[in-house]
Parts: sequence; C-alpha cells; structure tokens
Amino acid sequence: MAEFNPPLLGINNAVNPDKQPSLTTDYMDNVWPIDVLEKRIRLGQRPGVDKAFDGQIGNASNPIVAVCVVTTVD
Amino acid sequence: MATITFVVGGTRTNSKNLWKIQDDGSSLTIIDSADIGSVANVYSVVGDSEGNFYVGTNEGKVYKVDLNLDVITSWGTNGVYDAGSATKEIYGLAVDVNGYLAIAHFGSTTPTTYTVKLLDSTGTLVWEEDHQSSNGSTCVSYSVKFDSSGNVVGVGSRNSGLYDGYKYQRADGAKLKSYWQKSGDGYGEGVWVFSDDDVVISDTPIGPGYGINVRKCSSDNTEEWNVSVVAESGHNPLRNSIVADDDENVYVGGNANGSKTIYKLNASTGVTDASYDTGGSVYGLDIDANGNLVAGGWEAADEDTNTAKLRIFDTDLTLLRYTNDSDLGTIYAVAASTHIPSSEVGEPADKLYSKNFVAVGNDQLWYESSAGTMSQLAASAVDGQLDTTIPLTICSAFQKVFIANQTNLKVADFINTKIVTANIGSNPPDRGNILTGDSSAAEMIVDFITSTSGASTIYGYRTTAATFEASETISGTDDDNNDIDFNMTAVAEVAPPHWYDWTPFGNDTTTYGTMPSEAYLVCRYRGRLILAGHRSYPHQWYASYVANPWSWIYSSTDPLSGIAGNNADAGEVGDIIKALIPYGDDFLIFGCADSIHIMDGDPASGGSIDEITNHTGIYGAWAWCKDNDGNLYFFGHGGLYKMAGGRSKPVCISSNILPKWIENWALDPSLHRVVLSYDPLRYGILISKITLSSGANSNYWFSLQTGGFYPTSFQDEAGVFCSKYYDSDSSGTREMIMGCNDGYLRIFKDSAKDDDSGASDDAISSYMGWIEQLGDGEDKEGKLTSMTVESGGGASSGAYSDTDGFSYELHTAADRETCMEDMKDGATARETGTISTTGRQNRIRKKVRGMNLGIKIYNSTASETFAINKISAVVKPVGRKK
Repeated sequence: MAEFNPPLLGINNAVNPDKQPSLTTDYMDNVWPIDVLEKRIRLGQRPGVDKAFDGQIGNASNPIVAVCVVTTVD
Repeated sequence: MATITFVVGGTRTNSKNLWKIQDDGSSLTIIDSADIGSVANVYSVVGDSEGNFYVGTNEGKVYKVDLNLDVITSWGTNGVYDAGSATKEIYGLAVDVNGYLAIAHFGSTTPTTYTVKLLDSTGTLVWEEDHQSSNGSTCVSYSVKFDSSGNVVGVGSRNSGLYDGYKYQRADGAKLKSYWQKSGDGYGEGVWVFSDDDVVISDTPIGPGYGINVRKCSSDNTEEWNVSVVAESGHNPLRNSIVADDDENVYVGGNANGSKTIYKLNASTGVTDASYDTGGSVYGLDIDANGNLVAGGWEAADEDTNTAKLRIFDTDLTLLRYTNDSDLGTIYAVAASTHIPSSEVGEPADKLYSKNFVAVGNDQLWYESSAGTMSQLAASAVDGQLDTTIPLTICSAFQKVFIANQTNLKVADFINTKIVTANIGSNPPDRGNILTGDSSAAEMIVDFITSTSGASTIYGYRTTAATFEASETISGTDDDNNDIDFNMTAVAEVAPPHWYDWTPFGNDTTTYGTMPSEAYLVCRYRGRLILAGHRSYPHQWYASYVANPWSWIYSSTDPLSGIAGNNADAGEVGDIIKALIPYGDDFLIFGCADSIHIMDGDPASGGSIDEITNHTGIYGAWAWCKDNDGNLYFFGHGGLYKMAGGRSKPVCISSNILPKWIENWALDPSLHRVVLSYDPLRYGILISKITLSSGANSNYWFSLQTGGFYPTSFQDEAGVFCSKYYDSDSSGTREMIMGCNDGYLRIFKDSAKDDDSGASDDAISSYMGWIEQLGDGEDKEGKLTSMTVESGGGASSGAYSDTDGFSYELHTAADRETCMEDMKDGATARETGTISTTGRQNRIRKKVRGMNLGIKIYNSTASETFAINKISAVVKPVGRKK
C-alpha cells in the first residue's frame, strides 16, 4: 500500500509535469495548507470570506480604498 | 452583578456619620467611614462626576470629600461651605457636571429667608434665593435638582395659594417657573427632574390627613399626572426621598406612619405598581449602578421580618439584601448612583484606551463608532472633501487619522474637543497652552487652531469633566506670557470626532512653514508625518516637525524641525516614489518605480538615503506588507520579493515557483491594483490583483508555514482594494480586515463555508489535482486496485470538527502532462465518486490501469468545506506500456 502525495506545498508551474516537485501541482484553487476545521497542516478548502461589519462604507457599492486603525485614550 | 460601592450618611454613631458601603451581590459591608463635622449628623449626600461627595449636615454646613472620605480643603473654606449658623439642616443637595452645587436648607419663619443656594465649582456662592412660601411657621426648602440647562428646581414649604416648587435661573437665581399651585398649607418634600426636564414633586398637606401626593409635569408646568398615592393619617413623604429609574418609574419614601413606606409609581400614569413596608421612615432613596433601589432610614422590622437600616431592592420592590450593622446610624441620605471607581476597591483597571477601525470609500470616511458598528463622519461626505477616484492613503498618528488625497489633505480627529470663536483676539493660543472657561472652569490643552486671527476653531484635549459652555469667556496664557482672552460663539463645545483641513498651525505659514500643495502618500516615521507623491515633484519627500503634524518649517539648528528632501543632506530620492514603508524609528523605505531606497536615521540629524537595489521597484502604494518577524514583502518586477528584516537586498521568492506570474497577470497600473495583506492569525500573505473598474481579481495565498503559493479566487464583489490587521478589543473583529470592491469590509472566517458576496453567499469552488506514478519503472504501467481515503474529523461528531463531503475523479494517461491536461480541460474521468463521511472510508475498489494516475479532489457545493488527512492506494505492476 502506498500513500499518495497531495500538493501540500502548493502550486508550482516552473517545470513540466513530468518533473513536478513532490507535494506540488500545477492545478489547484481555493485549497490552503491549513484546514479550517482544526487549523492543522493538511489540505482543505480555504476559509470563506464574511462581512466584518454589516454596513457598506459610503452606503454604496464603491471600493474601499483605504483602511487603518486609530487608538485613543478613554 | 458587579460589586459596587456607594456612600450613605446619617446620625452620628460611634463617632461616624458617613459610611462607604460595598455591595457584592450577597451582602452589604461597611468598608470605610468618616466623622464629618465631628458633632454633626449628615442629612444629605450627593456625588459628582469625578467621584467626590458633598455632605450636608444639621449644622448648616456642606463639606466636600474625596473617594477616601477625606475633606478636600481646596474647596470652599478649608473644604467647607457654611450656610450660616442659623440655617441649620442642609436637607437637599445636587451637583452638575461642571461641579456647581445646589443647596436646599432650613430657613426661618420669615417668608423671604434664603433657603436655596447655588455654589460654583470652587465652593463660592453664586446666588441665594428664597422659597417665598412660608407656611406661617417655618420657611424651608427640602430638595433640589438641576435641569438640563443647569437651572435649579427646588421644592419646600408653602402657604395656601402658593407653589410647591420653583425653577431658579442658573445665572442669577431668578424664578423662571413655578410648579404646583395648591390650596391649603403644605410641604413640597421631594423633587426629581428627568433628562427631558419633566418634573416630579412629592407633596403633603399640613394638618389632619397628611397623605402622599405626587405630580408629574413638563418643564413648563403642564401636568401629565397627579395622584394621591395614599391618604393615611400622619403619613407623609420625606424630604428628598424620591428617585426615578431608567424607565422613569418614580420611587417615593414616606414616614413610618403608613402601612407602607416605599411606593413605586408607574412612569406613564403615576399608579402605584408596587409598595413595601420597611417598618420605619425611609429618608434616603437612590438607584445604584446595578439598577437596584437603595433605601435607608430608621432601624425597624420590615414586612419580611428583617430588621435593618439599609436595604437593597430590585425595581419591583423585592427585597434583595439588607444590613443593620450596629456601626451605622439612622440613614438620612443615600448617594448610590455615584459608583466609586473600581480602582478604589482594588479591582484592576488595565484598559485605558479604545481602538476604532477607519475606512474610506465613496468619497467618505467612516469609523467604528461603537464596537462592531461603522458610522459616517458626516463632514467628510461634503462635496469636495475627498475624491476616492484618485490616489489616496491614510495613516493614524496622535489619536487622529491623516489623509493624503492629492490636494485634499485632511484630518479626522478622534480625541480633541472643539470650541469656536468669532474673534480669537490679539494673543492667539500656542500649541500646548492651557485654556480655561471662566464660568465653567473647563480646561483644555490646545492642539490645533484654524486661524491665528479673527474667527477661529480651536481643537484641544479637555482635561476636566466640566465642559465648555456656549458664549463663555476663555482665558489662558500664551508662550510669550501674554493673556489669551476670547469668547466662544453661542455654541457649546463639540465632542470628537471632527473633520478639518490639514494645514500648518493656525494656517500661519510664516511661523509654521508650508505644507506641500498635494500628496497622496503619507506615513508616520520617528514621530514625524511624512508626505510624498506630489505629481510635480515625484522625487520629493516632506517631513513635519517631530510630534507636531502642524509644523513644517525648516531650521538648520533644530534637529526636530520639519524638513524636506531639498533641505536635507540626505537629499531627494532619485526615482519616483510610489510607496512609503516605515520601520518604527529605525529606517524608512521608499518604494520607487524602478528601485528601492532606504532612509536611515532622522533626516534632520544626520540621516541618509541609500539605494538598496535598482533591479526592481515596487508596483504601488499597497503592494507591500510586513510579517511579524519584521520581514518586508513587496510585489516588484519579477513577482514577490522578500527583504529580510526590511534592510537586506530584496530576493524574488516566487520566480522559481511561478515564473509566469508577471506574464499571466499582465499588470497595467492604470487598470490594476496589487495589494499585499499579511494575516498574522493564519500566518500567510494574500497577494491580490484587482481590476479597478470591475473588481475582477486573481490572488495567491503565500503560506509562511509551508513556503508555498496557493491560488485563490473571490467574487468580484469581494475583490481586495486594501487591508489592515485589526488587533481589536473585540474578538469578533480581531482579524485581517479587507476593504472590498463593493464597499463592504470582510474577513476570512473559518466557520464560513461560503463567500459573502453582499446580498447573498456564494459557494466556494475548491479543487486540486495532481499526478501519481502507477508504473514501477520507466515506461511501465500499473493498476490501481483500491484506494483508501481518510477525511478530516475522525468519527462523526466527537471532539474533532467534521469535514463535509467532496468528490473525486481518476484520470490516467501515458504521460503526466497529458494526464494534467485532461484534468484541466475537464476530460471524462476514468472513475468518479463522492466521499460523504468522516474518517477512514471504506476501501474504494475502483480499478484503473495506466502509467500515470491523475487524482482530482473538489467541492463546489454551497455550505460545505473539506479537509483531507490521507489518501493511500494498492497499486500492482502490470508490465511495460505497449
């Protein structure tokens, strides 16, 4: 019985598939090396994106062009 | 329930008449006490916003004490205001946010005896007035409160046809309004003023019957309700024994002659919703910080057969706990709404700051006005203030956000208080001067003013609880010891945040230098604000004075002075500056079009600018990030570069892995933005290309744990335009936050199995395909006879989170490239299947033969995710390929 080697090290298209480095591939999308279930190093679907705040900045579908954090004394 | 501490006063017992009580939710304990006035009984107590207390005694004196119950000798005369020996009992006290104290006290038989007084924050008399309602035997005021304008509302004794109460004008005590004209002599006993200036008064007639009557009216005496609470002989409300809860229900305390001694009156109707018999007179009522009713009075057995002087009730008048400590006297006054700060009782208070997220989009600046809520800074949305269609960067410094948007140089100020004057006078304040309100005693430290002459707006940090009042005179001393003297407009102070133009201090370019007329790059370095990105001077950089963003004037003799490239020995940068990357106080990196430069040290004190490399530049102002180890990553001519420690020669770390990256992305700065986003929680960097017009995007996730690159795609709506790791005080937003194409701020969320695309969620299409050799040698075939898959989660449910299902395809081909091509092109697979459970699956007995096996794992189902532990197989050699 042999263990297969899924592409834990991600994508590599520097060489032809015949010489593909171990644990890499030329074909993947939205798969990350840390899974979202237990946060371990194993291949799994990436985390989804979700809203951090409910409202739209500017109340319109226009890009947010800059963000920062400001800290003030209480 | 939080442990709280409050103060009560009463008859002098064991040489004490003022006690600090701790309520831990199960018992009441005396934790401190004082002997106020030595031989006096305490009749009234009230706390101010700074945690001090004013204590009225039966000797006509008021004392001001601190948290430790020590007399504050700087107030009044050695900590005492003496209303006069003939005055005696101080029945009622009230204090406003500016430290002004209203006093209600006993008078005499003379109708015009002064019984209501107002003291300023120093304890000096402002005015005294009469209640003018003598009942023929005594003239007395019992209770006072402030309204929202600082006027004083007081109640006391009255003759027939006169009033229970009056509103006295703050400035001079003139009677502005009278409340509750009644026939027959009597007493207005207690008064409460609501936040909307509605007034509630408790009253009793003199003579047979007595009884408790309560009336609620508006500030102009329009009656809302008027009830006879109880009409029991000899039973009357007690002075100052009245309070309202947050729902505006009114609680009234009465003497021991009634079948009940505390009444809860409905906010809307005045109907008695609840009542309780404490057995003895209830002199003091207040609502504590937990929202409970605190009642103090005689020692007596209550209707629950508990003997006590001090009791805690919930707002339905259910008794919660009590004390009859022998060290307590009869309680005449309760000040429970002033919770003594936790630091006083030994609880640690580590957090002294607040963090707020700020975002700019659609020509507006928004900020986190409360945890989890973003609000518009309204003034930023006025036409012409911002233009988010042209380059813009922001940075936070000195509790503000500085915006560089070409000719729009702006400030969002989150800390200063604003006051306005029509004429700042001949001696305008300098930065750092202390300004004081002559009537309010409010103080601020000046930070910025908009003009040094005529009309001006002053921004400063207010250091007092007292606030600046409309039209008041402001005083101070400038740096040259001249008197500062101006009047505010008829607008009181305005709290932050504020929005204003970023200019030199007072817009005085002679004294404070000239700012660049435009810039789109801004950062903070060594306490200076650095600007760059002037279209006419693309090699130039500008630095403000150290710790002073309003001063830009250059001085060759001051190492802290403002400075620009043409002033400095370091000089201008020999390439077009496209990014400013500060490294604390150590060095500043200029990311340029075709080179990287580093400014070492302070530019006004021996600092230098050196070229690190001319083999690559930086793509743009957002195409960089730093990891937690201080390494710099940026997108340059060849792909992703790393500068170890931020100082070493940049090395392209992607060229050996993604040599066609630049070719594939086909970047055009006029069409595309590149953003690098470091996520410290996932220990990786998201490298994003986004099309400015549509949000169409391509991304790679670079894992700092594996060193690998992982293609990643989002919907156009979620294309990343900017990002910032937010070390929020709230765990829900302590993430790397991405500013997206559609105006929403987004985060990666491990529990999210789909992508939010605004109005809906979209399934994530995830897949990976790779090649395994089946033959046991060159040009040989093998036969897969079975495959075993272990998916994440162990047994179903259990301690480990379970994966959802996923599908697989098996392809074969004589060469690897064809095998990979078949998977990419969607060719018909030799075998397919689905895994839908967790842990080790039953052996998949699907047989395929060939030289190379292509395995594709994928999931594009909504609300699903997957993780794979292991895939193993039994492969048998079958000889040479024909």
